[in-house]
Amino acid sequence: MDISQLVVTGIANGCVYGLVALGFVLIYKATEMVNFAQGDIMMLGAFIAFTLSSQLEMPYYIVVPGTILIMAVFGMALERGVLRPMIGEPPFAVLMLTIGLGFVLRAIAGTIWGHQPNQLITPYSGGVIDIAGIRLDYEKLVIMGGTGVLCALMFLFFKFTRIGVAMQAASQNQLAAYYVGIPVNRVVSITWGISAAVAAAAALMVAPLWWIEPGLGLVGIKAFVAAIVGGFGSLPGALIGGIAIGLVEQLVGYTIPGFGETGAYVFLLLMLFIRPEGILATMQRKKV
Amino acid sequence: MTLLVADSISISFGGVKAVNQVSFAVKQGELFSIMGPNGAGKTTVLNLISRFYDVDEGNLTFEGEDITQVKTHQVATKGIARTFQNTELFEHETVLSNLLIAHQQHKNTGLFSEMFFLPKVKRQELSFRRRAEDIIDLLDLQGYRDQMISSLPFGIRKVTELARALSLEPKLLLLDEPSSGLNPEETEDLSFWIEDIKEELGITIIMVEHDMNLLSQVSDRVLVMADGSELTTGTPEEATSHPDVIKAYLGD
Repeated sequence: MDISQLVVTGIANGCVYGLVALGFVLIYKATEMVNFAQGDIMMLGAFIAFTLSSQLEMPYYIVVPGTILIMAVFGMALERGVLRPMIGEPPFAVLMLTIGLGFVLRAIAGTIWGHQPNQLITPYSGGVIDIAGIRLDYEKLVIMGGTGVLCALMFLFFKFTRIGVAMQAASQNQLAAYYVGIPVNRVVSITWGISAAVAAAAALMVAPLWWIEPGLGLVGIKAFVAAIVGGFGSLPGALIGGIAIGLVEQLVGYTIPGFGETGAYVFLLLMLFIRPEGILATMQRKKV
Repeated sequence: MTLLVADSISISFGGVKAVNQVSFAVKQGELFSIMGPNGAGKTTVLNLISRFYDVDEGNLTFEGEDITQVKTHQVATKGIARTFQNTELFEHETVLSNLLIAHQQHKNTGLFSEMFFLPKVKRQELSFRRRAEDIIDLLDLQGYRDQMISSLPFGIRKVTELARALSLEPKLLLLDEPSSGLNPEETEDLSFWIEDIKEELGITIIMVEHDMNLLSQVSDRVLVMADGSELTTGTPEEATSHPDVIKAYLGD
């Protein structure tokens, strides 16, 4: 196998880890809690897309916005119904809750859709293009392009819009945010909505390549690793971390067959030894 | 004209009456101070007015309108801004951004036009920036405008927080111990600024303060509290010479 193929696959997978990691970081920044169900939210997005397209036979141009919208609403409902009552509880309790939530979502998905792998067929499935001698599947091209577009949109959103700036403000100081007129509760709710929507977008792009099954939610663990490698709390870091993990996984898996995933975690350990604050550091070490 | 009326407001935490049946009325353009020993409930009164807590009993009216049901984030839109004793700022932003964030929330443009920075958004942004610069000039923050909050000394943070409160263009400004943590020189600057804010900008101020010099220099009236209750209200001279007040500070 040619190295360029490994790199392409690594980057494409990495984009998906990166997008799920973005969800981790968004929620962490807004509320200082880590949502371990982030990967399972993506898994649910993949099943929604599968249901809309294969079972309800909707056209693909409706499946895409439909899935994203449904998941955004689901994310907000989750925050409202499950997480908001936990305000003021110890962080550890909230953490356990999100881990439990992941199990529940996987179990529910298993009950509704079963455990057999499904595949999402898209209008572009199976297409191949040759760019400068590198063979590119349309699926991977869409992942890379889509991730680029999503990142550009998020950049504009956070930099220029009132709600984007409000989200950044609330993530830095909730009390101050309240008194400059920011509805912090609503902002947190929207943050969950956006995280789930981004996870749904990632699901839509990756579902044609990976099998859709409840275990897909476990991609959240790798995305979490990506977020740490990137420097937890940094949005561009999450994406860079994701791509780094995707590449390491492919390259190690090629060099030592079967050890790709292990390679990703070893890479995390090495990062923690060498640069514990992550690639793009946002956290400062406490000075004593 | 009366701007704010507190009508026998009370709040308890557990079994402790932190504020007990306190009443006062603040006139438009007045500087109304609250003093008292530690634990008297002064900051709690500010927290009640700024809707950080709900009152257990009593009424709060601002511009003739009941504000006891107003949500915390709507306080700013009603025209009430506040500062905190230990400052609450957006740490990873510059002084200027802290002021602009406050302005930003008064935008009335849509998501789309904001993302692509259409002319309407640009006009609003320009007027926000002009006002922010005016406030920076007023409070002498020019030298710090592009510095990160986390790198600033405490005194400058306090002034920045005051600037951010002003950039909300409030009718009523709540100051929680504005001089705490400031050196005498900074406190003197502060007293001039407070007078400017009152006289030139015409903003009504409620101030919780310990520094007697500052209090008597700028206050029109002083409410003295002890153990959650009102001891007396009057001019700074009347309040500080009241026998109950002397007893509360010095004991029997």
